[in-house]
Amino acid sequence: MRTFIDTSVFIARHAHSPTQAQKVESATGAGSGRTKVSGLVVRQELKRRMLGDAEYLFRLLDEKNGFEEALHHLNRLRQLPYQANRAGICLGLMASITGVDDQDKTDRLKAKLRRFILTCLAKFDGWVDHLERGSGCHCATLDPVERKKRGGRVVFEMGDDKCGTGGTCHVGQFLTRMSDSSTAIQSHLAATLEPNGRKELHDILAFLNDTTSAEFTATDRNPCLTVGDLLIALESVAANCAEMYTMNHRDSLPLCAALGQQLRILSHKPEVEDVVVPPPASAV
Amino acid sequence: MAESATTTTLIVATSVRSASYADATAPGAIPARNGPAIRGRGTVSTKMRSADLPTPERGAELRSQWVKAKRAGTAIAEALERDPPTSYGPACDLSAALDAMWKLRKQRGDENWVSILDCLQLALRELGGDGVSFLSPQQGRKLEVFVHTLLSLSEKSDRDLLEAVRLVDELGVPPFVDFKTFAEAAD
Repeated sequence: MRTFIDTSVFIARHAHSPTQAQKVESATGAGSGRTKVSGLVVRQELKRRMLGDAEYLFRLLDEKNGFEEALHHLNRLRQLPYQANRAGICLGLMASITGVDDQDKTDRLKAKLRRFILTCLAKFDGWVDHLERGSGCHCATLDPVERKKRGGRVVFEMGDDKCGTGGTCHVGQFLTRMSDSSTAIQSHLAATLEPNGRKELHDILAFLNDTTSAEFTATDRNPCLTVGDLLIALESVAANCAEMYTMNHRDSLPLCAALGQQLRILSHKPEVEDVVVPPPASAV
Repeated sequence: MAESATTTTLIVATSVRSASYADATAPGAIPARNGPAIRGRGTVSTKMRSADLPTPERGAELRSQWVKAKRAGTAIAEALERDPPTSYGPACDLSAALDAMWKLRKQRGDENWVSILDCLQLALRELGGDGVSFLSPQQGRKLEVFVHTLLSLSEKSDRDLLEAVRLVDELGVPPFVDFKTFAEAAD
């Protein structure tokens, strides 16, 4: 069976506990009879959400001349509403760093960040059996590049992170090509989504309503950022996957129901078995 | 009155700024420890302390620690093939040698090598005190290869870094386990 791997599952396999990693491996490994498939939008999401924060922290260590100053800066940022999330993520990583002095802790953290930034996407490419490239997401194809500045300072260039930039973004054409699946999702959400339902699902519905009115080009709305779950669902259809494997079931459940896919849900708790939601009877 | 006070404050602030800039850019001046980083010609780097400067003696010490680490890596691999619980001693030796190598990391001036060293230290920490004895003989040989080839004192590339991540994964340690908080935010 071809199983589409969501960003959250890759993260669980490589950044959660060994037990969780083992669970994902037993569900998707060689003996499971599954082919691991993923897509460019998933790769882009991984880059934007995880590598982006890592690159920020790496840069901050240089700008603030060390671990302690960066720590104080992030503690101050935690008070600000729009910075609190990123600051909290960085502080969580910094809490695990030990060392005899500031330089030791700075070097330790930089060594980890460097390894993560330079190898994460290659690890992703190597882990999945097939990478669906149909969406033509230009941002996903740009790997972080290391540059040495004058004075020996190292910076990482992450490349574009907005749809439509670079002149080679094909997400708009992909959405047009997948219009049958988009229509299925649109009608399913229009019929089932409650007014107080998930904001992400309302965003998807609004996006689909707007694109069908042809008032604007799809990439104007930066869909990889704003409706990434929709693009990932469409990528799974383009890759002929009968199953979606994710931890984020609240958004994926209605999308899989609309597309007639089986949903496999990975729990945050390593001791809890995966939950399998079969496709709706009408789709079988 | 209020205007005069403001003017005085501004003058003082400007003169303080000028004085610190003049001090920092004077020939042979060493920038203040937590002061602004002034880059370009004639500046003194505060990054490399005298205790970290590469010297032949420290280079020899690093090489000797690597030899110890290699010996411990081979001993672990052999112990896992014969009698796994006896791998505890060599695992402690390996851990101690890696700690000593970390202290001498500035000798290398190779960020990839430092990151590879950190990667193996992370793996040993995650495996825990006697965790090495639960590795299979094949994993023991991989650990040996890691120490012998990836921690060698030649220049390391991004490909070596990726190989280190792959080998740690094969030892049963998720390679990005340190980034758990990043992961939880992204879930």
